[in-house]
Amino acid sequence: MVTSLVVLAGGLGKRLLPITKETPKPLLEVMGKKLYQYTLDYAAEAKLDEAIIVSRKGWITEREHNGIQLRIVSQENYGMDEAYRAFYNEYQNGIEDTLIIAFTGFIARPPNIIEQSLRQYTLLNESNMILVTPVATGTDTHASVEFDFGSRVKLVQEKGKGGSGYALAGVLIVNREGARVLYEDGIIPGLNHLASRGSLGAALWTGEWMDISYPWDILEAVAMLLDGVTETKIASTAKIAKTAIIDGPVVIDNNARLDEFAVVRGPTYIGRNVLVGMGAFVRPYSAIESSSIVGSRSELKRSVIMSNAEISSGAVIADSVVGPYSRIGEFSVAKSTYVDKLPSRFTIRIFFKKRKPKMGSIIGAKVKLGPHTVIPPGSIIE
Amino acid sequence: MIYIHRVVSRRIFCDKAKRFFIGLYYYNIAGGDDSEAALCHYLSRGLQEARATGYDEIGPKLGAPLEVWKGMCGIAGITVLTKKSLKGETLGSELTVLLKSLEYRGYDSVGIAVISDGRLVVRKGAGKIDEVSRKLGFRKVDGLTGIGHTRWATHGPPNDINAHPHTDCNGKIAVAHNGIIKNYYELKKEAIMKGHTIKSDTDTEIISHLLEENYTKTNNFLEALSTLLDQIEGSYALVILNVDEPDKIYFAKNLSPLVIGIGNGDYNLVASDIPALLRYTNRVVTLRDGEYGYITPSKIHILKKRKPVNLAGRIKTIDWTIESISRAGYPHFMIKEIHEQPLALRETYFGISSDPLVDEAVRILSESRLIYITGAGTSFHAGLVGRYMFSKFASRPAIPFISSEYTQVINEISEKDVLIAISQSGETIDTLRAVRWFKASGGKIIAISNVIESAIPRESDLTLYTRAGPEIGVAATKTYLTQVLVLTYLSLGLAKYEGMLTKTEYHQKKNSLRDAWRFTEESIRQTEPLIKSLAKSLSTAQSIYILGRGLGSLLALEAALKIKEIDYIHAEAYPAGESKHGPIALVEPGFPVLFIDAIDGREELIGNIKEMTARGADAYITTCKSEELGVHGAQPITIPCTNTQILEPYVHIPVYQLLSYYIAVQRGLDPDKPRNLAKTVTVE
Repeated sequence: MVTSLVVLAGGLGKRLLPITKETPKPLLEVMGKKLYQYTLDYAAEAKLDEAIIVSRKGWITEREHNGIQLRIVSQENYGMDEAYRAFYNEYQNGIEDTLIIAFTGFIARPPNIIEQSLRQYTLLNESNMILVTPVATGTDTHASVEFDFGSRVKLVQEKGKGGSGYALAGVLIVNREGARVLYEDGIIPGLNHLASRGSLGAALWTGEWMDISYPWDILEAVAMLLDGVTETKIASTAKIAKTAIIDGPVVIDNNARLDEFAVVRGPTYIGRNVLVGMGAFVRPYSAIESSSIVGSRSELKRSVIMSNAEISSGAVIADSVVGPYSRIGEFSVAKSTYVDKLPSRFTIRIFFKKRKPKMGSIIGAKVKLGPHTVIPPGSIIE
Repeated sequence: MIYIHRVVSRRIFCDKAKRFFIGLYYYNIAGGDDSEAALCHYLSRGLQEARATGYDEIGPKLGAPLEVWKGMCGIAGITVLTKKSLKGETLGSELTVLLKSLEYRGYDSVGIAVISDGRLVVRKGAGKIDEVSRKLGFRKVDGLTGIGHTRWATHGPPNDINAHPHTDCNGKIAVAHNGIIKNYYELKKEAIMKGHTIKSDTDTEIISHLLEENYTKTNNFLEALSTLLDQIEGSYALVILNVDEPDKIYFAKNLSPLVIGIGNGDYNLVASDIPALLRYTNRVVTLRDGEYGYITPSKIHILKKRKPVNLAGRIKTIDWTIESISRAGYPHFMIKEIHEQPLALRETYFGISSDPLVDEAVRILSESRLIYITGAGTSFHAGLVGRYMFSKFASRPAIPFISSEYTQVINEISEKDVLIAISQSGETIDTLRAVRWFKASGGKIIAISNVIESAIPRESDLTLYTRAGPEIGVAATKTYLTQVLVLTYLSLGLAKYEGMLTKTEYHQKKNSLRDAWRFTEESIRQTEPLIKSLAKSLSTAQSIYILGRGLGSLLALEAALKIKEIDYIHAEAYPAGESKHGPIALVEPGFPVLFIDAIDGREELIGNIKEMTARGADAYITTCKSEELGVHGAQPITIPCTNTQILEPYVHIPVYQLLSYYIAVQRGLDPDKPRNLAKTVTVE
């Protein structure tokens, strides 16, 4: 089958502010990989070897990822429709029989989401298809889909009613005619246009899926990815001190360093060039992204430290996200507690745990906090 | 007096307003009068009754767009340059293999047509592919160009004349068709007036006669085909042979699927779906609506609106395997079939409520001394719900037993007893044995099955069919609910017959049963997202209890079976009140306990929830009274309110089917092929 793939990666991630103040959403690193690279990896799983990637000028510099040759198109303004138009203007004559449109900023497990979509597309006998997935929370943040159980889409809504339902799972496959309709009408109205003509099929994705829309989602996304980590993997270039303790499934990336008496409990991710200082304690479901420092005798509980951040000695960070290039001063505390109003992604956890989860704080990008700062739970620091 | 002696498998198109009508099967009338006029007369009466009870609202409406099973029939064709290109010995055996791979689309009537030495050879008959092919010697039919057809009859047993392919008056043109020709009735009348002899009652045969006529006029078959497509309306995938052009297979497609397989220059194929072609080629062209044309061994010619279609970029190379057949839109058959339940329930209600055999069954049941119900696995669980309904509405006790355990009741049977035997496939050996033994004891058998003319129906006095369509996933999903629907319908009929329900009550209950599909649909929509998340937290459980009271305890059995067979997690169903007489000893903090609140004993259920949560159990409850029941410590999974026990199975069971499915996905298991299990158990 002759197929083109376009990856839309020009979004700023406004809802993710203040985390995306310095780094736009597609370039945010989660578990050592930029968000746009997740989408490319899913494409690689489908054995695609070429992708057109639409982004702002200068954002994406690599020309090849995981065996996929990248052709880069620049978009002038932000927005999904804008990105798609930029692509269409340049490549409309080159659109082959089938066009796969993939978004960035979602993660899926297992990673065969695009492969699965292509397979369904060949089976479905429809000219255009979207992938949908049941989600328990968060149809308020991305498009929700109504379809009949005969696999035909009835309605796509940009913002759902909130709560649970079926969400557009980040992958669309259209033929040349469908590609034109999306260009003329915009993506969501275009899909509705196709649906009203009766030529939009739905395929169901039953694996795990989530869209990273709000800062708190990063914690949930990392938890989801870490659930897939079943064994400890330590890169050969990582340096682990003799007295360091690694307990449970932990991934330690290239050139990471665990100092003496550091304790890391899995499932946890330690990124490239990360330093975990002497006697530091990293508790389960934490991720430390590349080139960050977790100082000696500090403690991380279910937190994500984004790239190039520094947690100084003796600091305690609980249930929080620390943005890229931030610095948390010595002996600072980001406390967590039960809060009254929970972000929507967390409400589902109450359902299963029967008690509210603890919430910490969101510390944005390039935030500098002095020593002994106490950050109250639920704060968002810009 | 009209005496209906058997149901035949034909669609009828004789409404006065000349609109078509499909779905309601009609009856062959004893005494040989099965002329169309007689049948139409009968049908119009049937329709009036149907309207009086209001069910044409839910069934396919007169003239409404068709909602048919995707994949009701399979068609195929192959043309080769020389015999060397054949994989099998003869073209006949080749076509048999092709049809075998389309068998999942239907397998109760089959036929082939081959051009052999300038003659058209047609062999067709009712039955499974293997049987018919053996009986009619498909293997001996040889030639270079041929077509075939396989069919799934949802309405009555198929017969030899109605099997495809159909031919024209001179035996020169053969047609196999998947779909429905809407304006068939007018065309047929016209054709008869022009002197054509129409042998079958299908909507397909008319195509061959129209082609014959168009072809005589122009002497150009492609032109004849173009004209035909202007004449017919409806859905179709057609493959056509013309004796005058022995190397061509003509085709046309609208709404029904059709795919061309591209050979290496000395053969080409066409079939209903890609998997059928994969044995020969992985290069395919999926045809689009309105396209038609022909293939020869070396050429593919496609037209749309009389203009040639450019194939550039449309040839796909397929790199997946046959196992993914017909899961269109779904990653597994199981989830597809769960989602198909609303449609299956609608079809089943529609079918059963117009089946005259129900009255006959009710009479047999009413005159019987004792009613026994049997089945294996899921069918047995459906039988238990049936027993509940018989007792509740008709106040008639029924004795359920697992079919392989028939020896337990062997000594109590008399000639006046009746056995309701339930089997999806109609071939389950344990149930078949129970049926044989029961019959030998002199009792009467009423079978409930999904497969027409299978072994158990053949050996029964009377069969009521569920119309769930083919079920491929090993775990029974849509067949359970459709079996429950048929049993409930039967219990209502019996209750009315025996005067236990007034006419108003009866109609009220029947109408709520008619709407069962809506509840299933709503229940799936409402719970699927939550269940997907719940499955994640239950996927690591070692053991699960499923508790309920009354009807709930019966539904729990099916729920537990699904979790056991699909997820390999020990799941045990218990009546909630009984749980404190033993099973509760196993409950420790974090032990998952699922409750089913099926209206019965709601008050007492609260006590049972408290017993469990007091011991630290992780309790969940499927209920529509989530605010009332949620406060007692169990997390409510809210389902639609039915307010009547009749409808409770249709809202609870989909939730547990989804749960078992999503747990399997979480655990990385294949829900369609659970280990150690087979779809149809034909060994004891």
